[in-house]
Amino acid sequence: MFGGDRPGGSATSAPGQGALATRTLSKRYGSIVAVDAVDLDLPAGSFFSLLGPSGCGKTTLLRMIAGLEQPDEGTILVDGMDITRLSPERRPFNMVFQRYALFPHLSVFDNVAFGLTTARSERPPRDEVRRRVGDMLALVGLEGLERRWPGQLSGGQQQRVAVARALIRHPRVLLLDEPMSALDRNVRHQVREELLRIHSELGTTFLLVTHDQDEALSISGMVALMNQGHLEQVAKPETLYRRPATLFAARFIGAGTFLDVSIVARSPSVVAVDLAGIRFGAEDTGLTGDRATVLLRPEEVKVTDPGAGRVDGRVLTCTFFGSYYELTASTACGTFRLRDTHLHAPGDAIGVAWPETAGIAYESTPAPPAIIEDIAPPGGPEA
Amino acid sequence: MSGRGGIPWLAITCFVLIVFLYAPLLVATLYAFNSGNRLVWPPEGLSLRWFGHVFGDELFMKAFSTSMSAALITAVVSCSIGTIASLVFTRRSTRIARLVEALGRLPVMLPPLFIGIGFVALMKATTLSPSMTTIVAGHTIIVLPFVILIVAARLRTYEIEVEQAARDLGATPIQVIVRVTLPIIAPAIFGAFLVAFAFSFDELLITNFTSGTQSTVPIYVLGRLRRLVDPSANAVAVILLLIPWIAFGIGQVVLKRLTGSGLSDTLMRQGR
Repeated sequence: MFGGDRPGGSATSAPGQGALATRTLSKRYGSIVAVDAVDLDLPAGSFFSLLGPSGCGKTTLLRMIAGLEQPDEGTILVDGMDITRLSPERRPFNMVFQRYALFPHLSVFDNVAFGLTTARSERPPRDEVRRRVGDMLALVGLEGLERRWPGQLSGGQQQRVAVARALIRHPRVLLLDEPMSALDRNVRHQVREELLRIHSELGTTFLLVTHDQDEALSISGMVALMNQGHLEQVAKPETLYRRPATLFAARFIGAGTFLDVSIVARSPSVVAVDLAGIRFGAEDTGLTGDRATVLLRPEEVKVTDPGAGRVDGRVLTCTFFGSYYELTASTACGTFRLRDTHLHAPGDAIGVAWPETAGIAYESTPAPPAIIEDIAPPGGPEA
Repeated sequence: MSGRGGIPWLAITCFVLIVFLYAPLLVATLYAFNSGNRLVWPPEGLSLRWFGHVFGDELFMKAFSTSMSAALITAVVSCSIGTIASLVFTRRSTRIARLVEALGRLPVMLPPLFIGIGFVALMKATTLSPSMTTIVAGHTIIVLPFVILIVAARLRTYEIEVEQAARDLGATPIQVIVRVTLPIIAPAIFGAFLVAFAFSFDELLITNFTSGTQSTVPIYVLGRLRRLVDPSANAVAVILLLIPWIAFGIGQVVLKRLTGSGLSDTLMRQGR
């Protein structure tokens, strides 16, 4: 799932090469800080995702970039030019709206052509409009539907029209506001691949807002994880999954076991921790106190015969995921999430093992409400 | 309602209601095509002579053209003001906007007689004299709340995101209104136009006070009925009945030309 080439992987582009940057961009609604001093750098040509739980400010951030909301503070830069106060029609971005927002009174052709006909000067001639609309409809696979009305199209087709309509102006950045949330699950997967294909065909920078981590991790070259208005971590999907920078990131991305441990010794990047008498090493993330929360990913934890692992437990649930089963097991040290290749019945006695050095240790914070409990790990059967 | 085998109250109620509602309409229509001179049962025969009589009457034709002008101007004026007002009311929720909206609705609850007397007082106090302007002003006051009601209802169910999409695609605020907002709400404005037109065309009470020496169709009919009762009044009633239907039919054809689909299609497509 993480394989393949990823056009957005070039996160290390030199300053000035970025398609878009924001500096200390902020938005408040009354006493609520929706977006809190965000510095975002979008590498040119990348497929960039803004990921976060609902209410984290990602949509507000996107709408400020589009010019549909005015920031209270901060700047938006394109090629070093400040466009913060530019009205939306003058910005070099185009947006795909969550519910598509197609013009109900215009045909598919006129919807897609709309962006070419708004300029007060240098309106392209009819032939060129016809050609470019045709190209766009071919790009999104909707040839022959020019004369249909939006109301006669399926959700997936409407979305393709929305993408074609936004791309026809050759935007510097294509903004996508949760474009797949209104689609059926199986259509969603198809649309995901279509977007990837269009992205690599055009080389346009894509900025996708989503709350669906599978979507963000599988589709984008770079992911910015947002939480309560600020950027929690900006990284490649692999990094976000394997080395989450904060406990919030660790809890939000993927699944795992979270263990409350005490720290018994420190070495340069690894801390030795104690979990009710069990000692092991975990990666240090700059801990200061003497307690920590350790994340173990399910694939790091193995099922053994009872007595052969570090701790014994009983199976609570066992879920089929195609090539593996994911188990939850209760032990004296807490509930573990782990993987195995064969089925276990609830109640079975098992041993739980993990390597000498495993997982990442974070400064302990109270666990957030269980909004992320049941999100399948990337690579689940639907992916 | 009807008990098993008892008196069918529901059926009786419905029958009485239907007769009550439509008997005058039926009788008036029947006698409009009467060939006799008097309104006696049974009608003496079928003919269109009373329609010929009405259209041959110069006074009627004058009243008809006055009513037509008043209704058209009232519909245009009230739809223009009403649409602009609705756009403001549905987008601004300031205290002033809400107050003005409430004030704009108030005339629905005012007795037309009161508005008529108000106009007389206003004309006495100023140099205004009864004219087409005062007729239209009186009608507009009564019709405007209905126009706002219809247009604002459409605007409240409409996805504001399409306007943002238009801005995003390079449209200026004016282009958004002309190319997106107005075409989408056009069927509602057209519906409001028909309501305003139909209302103005047979308004009698306020017109009595504001028309002065000009006579509109309702005033003409009333004046005529005072002198004699013959089937020509019925013919006028049938003409009044047909006018909104004809207007709707014309509108249907015009909309089909403009948007490729009729009024009902447009409403259905946008209702999704």
